[in-house]
Amino acid sequence: MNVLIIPEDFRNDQYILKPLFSRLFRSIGKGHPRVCVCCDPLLGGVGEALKSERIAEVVRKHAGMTNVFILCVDRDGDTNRRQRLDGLQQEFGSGQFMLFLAENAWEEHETWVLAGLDLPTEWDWKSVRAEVHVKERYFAPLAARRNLSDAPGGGRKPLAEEASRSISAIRQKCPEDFDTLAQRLQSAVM
Amino acid sequence: MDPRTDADGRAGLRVSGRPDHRTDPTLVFQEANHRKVSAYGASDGTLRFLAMLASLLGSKAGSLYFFEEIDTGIHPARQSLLLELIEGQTARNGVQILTTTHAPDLLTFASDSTFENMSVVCRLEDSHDAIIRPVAELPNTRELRTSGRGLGGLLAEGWMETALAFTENSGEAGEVGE
Repeated sequence: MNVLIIPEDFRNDQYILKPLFSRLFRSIGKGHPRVCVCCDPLLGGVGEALKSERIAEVVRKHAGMTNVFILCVDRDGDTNRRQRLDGLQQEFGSGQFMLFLAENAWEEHETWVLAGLDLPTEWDWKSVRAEVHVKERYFAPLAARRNLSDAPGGGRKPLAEEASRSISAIRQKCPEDFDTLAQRLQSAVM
Repeated sequence: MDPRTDADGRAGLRVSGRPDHRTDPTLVFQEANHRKVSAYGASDGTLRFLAMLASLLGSKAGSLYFFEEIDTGIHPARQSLLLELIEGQTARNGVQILTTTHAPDLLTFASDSTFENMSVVCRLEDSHDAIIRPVAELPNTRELRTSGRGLGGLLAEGWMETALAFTENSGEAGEVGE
């Protein structure tokens, strides 16, 4: 099975999404799918990633060789973003050999990583989960504490790989987005 | 054409050196205005470009050349000129040229004939070996080549690696659908 993750900006997101989704597929018993991250530089931000024409271009380029497309953007505190993603899902739909899913991470992809890590005891998970600027407020400080700021993606690569070993914790702590997506994949991928 | 001069016989290359002084041979460019410039003052890209010109257009041209990384040090705006020269030589004189590149623009500029003979070399993740596959055999390449940013765009965004990863030993496909 071939899975293409479409991030809103691959430069940092690739380090998070590839390990998390590779492990997620394994954890839901879908074997070892080939997971690739779309590195189209034209998807430079959520504004572009939510445009039908951009997504159509990505789908067209990868049609016939991709079984599952997963568009992943940050929610950024925008409660209407889900509606737009639903529209894209409807537009690109699914068939017998192709599935298109779209999800927004509450509030940023870094939250999913933090959910899979042992956080400093003084941090309250509810506050982390609710933080719109989680990159600056929590992720970057944690990477600095772990002396990983200079690692690829500002520490995202090693921290996401570590977090990916705790997929069940991420699902439990991020029920509205990550777990919902996991459940949809679980039921859709045969 | 004599590799030491351009089409009008104005500019050229000259190798000079006097064995009795035990000096290394010195390469000198003579520009159109007769100004002479030592090769020591030329960029690596210029020297490489000239070396390829001299090889391909010289009086003792060979039949098979291998140029590694032909784009190295060469300004993007000049890359199409180099490709034009190479494609022209192969078409006119039956010269065979093998070359490698990482330059997206060169792929975009490639003629139909070059495209048909183009391969991608890639070492897939979790693999110990590199593989080489014809670009034209990757899914949708013929159509994608003529749209958007062309082959160069596909190379730059990692599409070729994805296409290889998705098509190589693709025996584990499954059905999906909600």
